[in-house]
Amino acid sequence: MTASILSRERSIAPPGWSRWLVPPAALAIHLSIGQAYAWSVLKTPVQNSLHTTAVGSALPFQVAILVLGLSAAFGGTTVERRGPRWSMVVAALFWGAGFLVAALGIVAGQLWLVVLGYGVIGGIGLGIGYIAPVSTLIKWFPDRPGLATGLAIMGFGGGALVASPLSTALLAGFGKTGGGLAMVFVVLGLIYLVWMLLGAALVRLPRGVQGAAAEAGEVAVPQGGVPAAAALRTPQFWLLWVVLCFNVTAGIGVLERAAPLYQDFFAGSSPATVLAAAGAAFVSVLSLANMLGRFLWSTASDVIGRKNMYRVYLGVGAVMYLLLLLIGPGNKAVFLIATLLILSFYGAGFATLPAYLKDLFGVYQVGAIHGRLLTAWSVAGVLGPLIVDGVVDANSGTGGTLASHYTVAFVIMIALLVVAFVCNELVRPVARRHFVDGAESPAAAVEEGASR
Amino acid sequence: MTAPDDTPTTSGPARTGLLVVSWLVLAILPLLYGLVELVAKLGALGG
Repeated sequence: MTASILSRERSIAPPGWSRWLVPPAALAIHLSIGQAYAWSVLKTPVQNSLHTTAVGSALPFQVAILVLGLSAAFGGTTVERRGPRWSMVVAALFWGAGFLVAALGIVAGQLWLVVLGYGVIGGIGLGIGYIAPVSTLIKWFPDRPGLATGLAIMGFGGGALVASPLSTALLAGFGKTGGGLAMVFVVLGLIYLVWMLLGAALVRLPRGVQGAAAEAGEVAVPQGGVPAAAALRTPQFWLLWVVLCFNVTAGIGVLERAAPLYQDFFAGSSPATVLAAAGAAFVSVLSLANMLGRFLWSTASDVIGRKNMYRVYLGVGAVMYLLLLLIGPGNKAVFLIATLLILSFYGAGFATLPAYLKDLFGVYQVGAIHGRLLTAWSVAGVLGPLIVDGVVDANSGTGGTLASHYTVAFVIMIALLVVAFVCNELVRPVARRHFVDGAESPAAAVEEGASR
Repeated sequence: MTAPDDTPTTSGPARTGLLVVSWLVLAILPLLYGLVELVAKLGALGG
């Protein structure tokens, strides 16, 4: 029987295939699934159309992020086994179908159907789509994994940049309720389906040329590493789990309340309408910092070393939170520099992680290990808003300036970043006994990066 | 690990063309659309 066109064997690049064709394929996937960050544009129309509450209309997004973590964790090994083309097609079908089922839910007036479509079915597409291109890029760019994964994961940050105006235009064209809103979901689903399938058609796995003289434009592909199941038994995996979880929690601390944070820190400095508009602009600029941080800091990690970059994200991040506390209120320059850096570190923490994993565990099952680590994201997604909203709500009505209501929340964020900093310091090369036969030793890269 | 692929080997101008079109269609133009809209939004707020 001939191998399926989606099979791993049929995805291997022909001679002369440029590795620079893989990043646009990866970007097609990540820019599409990055739409999740723009759910807020659809949230109010969904709420009004289904006559539900703010909590109810947030549910499809929350379930999608939860399922993203779960499907990345449980689907990682399958992604490695079936190859990137199969995985990307599966991601495209789930993500596209998720929108179509959600459209059905809108027409039927059933919130549960929207949650099932966008949250559960779409969430599976999110998880598979998130890890598949990253794992492939690491194999193509063993010499510059930070740049490669930074490019792709920048796409996830930039997805909202594309989806937000696109959704707004579609809502203006089709309408914001009932059949019109359903059409918006249908059109978005079809656009993302086609866009992702184009990426899947373009993606290739590198041919193994390890140990041989690489042909022009081809790279030596390291094959070995630690199996995903064994990685879970190493302290390094759990140390990085804490690092990711707390770094994301710290970022969400700003991201989740961006507009009200700005308005609270500068309350009384301008009329309420001007403050509201400035708050909205602040959210847009933050999303840009989130996106650019993913590419720039992750690329820098190829030179500076992964461990050193996380020292910057966590250490400087804690200092920025301290500055926000001490001189942020009323000082726009300090406020903007601190929050933009925190958000750029938030994005960079995601983008640099696959390269860090590759340094520690090798490329063998890096996608599967990455998927399992993303469960930290799901936990942080709950933890971050819980801390900030919980503290601010508890302090409201207690007097003092609005900015002072954030003090305890920011102190907690600093503490979390310090704990994560210590965890990063404890990361050492993975013991050789965990590596499968023939593995190269990526351990040196960790120490090398640490000493630079 | 050099299994045959159904895609013909590309070389020279064809490969350059594929590179340019892929980057433009799949990545650069969509991102540019988003950036232009963002700048317009920020400009409107500033004005």
